[in-house]
Amino acid sequence: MNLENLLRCVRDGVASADELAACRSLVATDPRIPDELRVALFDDDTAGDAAGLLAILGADDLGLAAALQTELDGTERGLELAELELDGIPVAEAVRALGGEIDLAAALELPVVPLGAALAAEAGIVELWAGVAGQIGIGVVPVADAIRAHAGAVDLWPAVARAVAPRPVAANNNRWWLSGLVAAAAAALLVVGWPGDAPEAPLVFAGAGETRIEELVVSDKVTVMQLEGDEGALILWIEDNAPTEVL
Amino acid sequence: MTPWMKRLVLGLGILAASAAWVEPVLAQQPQAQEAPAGKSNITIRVVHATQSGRVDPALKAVEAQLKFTRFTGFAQLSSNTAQVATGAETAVPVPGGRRLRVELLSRTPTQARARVRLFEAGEPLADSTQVVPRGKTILIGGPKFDGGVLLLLVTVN
Repeated sequence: MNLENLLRCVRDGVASADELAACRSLVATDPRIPDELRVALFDDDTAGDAAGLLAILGADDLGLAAALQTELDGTERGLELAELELDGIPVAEAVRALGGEIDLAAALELPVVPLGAALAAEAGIVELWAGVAGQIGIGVVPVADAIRAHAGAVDLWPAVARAVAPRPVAANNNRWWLSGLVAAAAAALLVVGWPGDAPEAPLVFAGAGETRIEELVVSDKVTVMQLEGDEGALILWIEDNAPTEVL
Repeated sequence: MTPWMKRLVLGLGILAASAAWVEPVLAQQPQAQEAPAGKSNITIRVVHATQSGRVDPALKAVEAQLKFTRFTGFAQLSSNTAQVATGAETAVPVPGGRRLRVELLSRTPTQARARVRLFEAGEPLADSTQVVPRGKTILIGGPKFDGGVLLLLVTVN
């Protein structure tokens, strides 16, 4: 009886002590069984061990053999996901093909704009003065008017007088007469007037009796008449001889 | 006597002396500043007479004497005074392309002899020689200008 049959008997609990011993002997030498599995076989759960060995040997008639073989292959080679093939395409390539370059801004639905511009667009213009004025309860007040309104008239003289202390006058000042002369000159100018400031003579018309016309030559273009004003003033009146235009 | 009192006394003294000197001078020439020796002041005023009803303040004193023109408004367009020696002349532009020339022919303490000529476009319109009392004004009127007439007032001092 070969190993597979012996293992089936053990699994099914129908093996005799000799068949169990023969099974142990074959397992210990069968090259298809990994060495690490040869230790401590058939000590406690002989049926389970037998079933497992059958699966390893591919003689399992329950379908466990293929599953176990796949598991063992994966354990031995390690699970290389990148080498797995899905529909004939390497996993790594498939992942990259599906992923591409990730545009985080697009993914987050944020427009790609400079940060400053984005902040300014959201913030708008900050009307600081309007806000402050509103808070303190005043409107738009012209600063100059406000200052003038609060300042009033400034009397500079007391400050100037304090700053410019009167200096003692020298007792032997021999130019004291100069001040008097200046004062007198100013008074004289006030009375007489500034030289060259010739006042216009008041208008007094010469009467006809005190004016004499010695000679008078007149152009053909005009007519000159000698008139006398309301108060006897002599007037030379020049009239244009050109005919008056009729519109 | 303090320096300030000295100034005050001296100033008053000089002022009194000045007043004593000025008064006769003003009495001698009450109308205008005296022209240098050998010269006379000749003043030429150009007045625009219209029907505006407005009278220039400078002409208020003679408004009544100007009413003969039948105009109601009088505006002084210009006033020029020149110191003219005997044998010399002065001239002023007159609106409308005209020009008035006054020549001082001779003078005495009380009167002056003057030649008064009005030109238009360079041609003489009127040429008169008059003897006028010094300090008084002769009037030449009539040239038309801007809806009114022009009055030329000539005074020889």
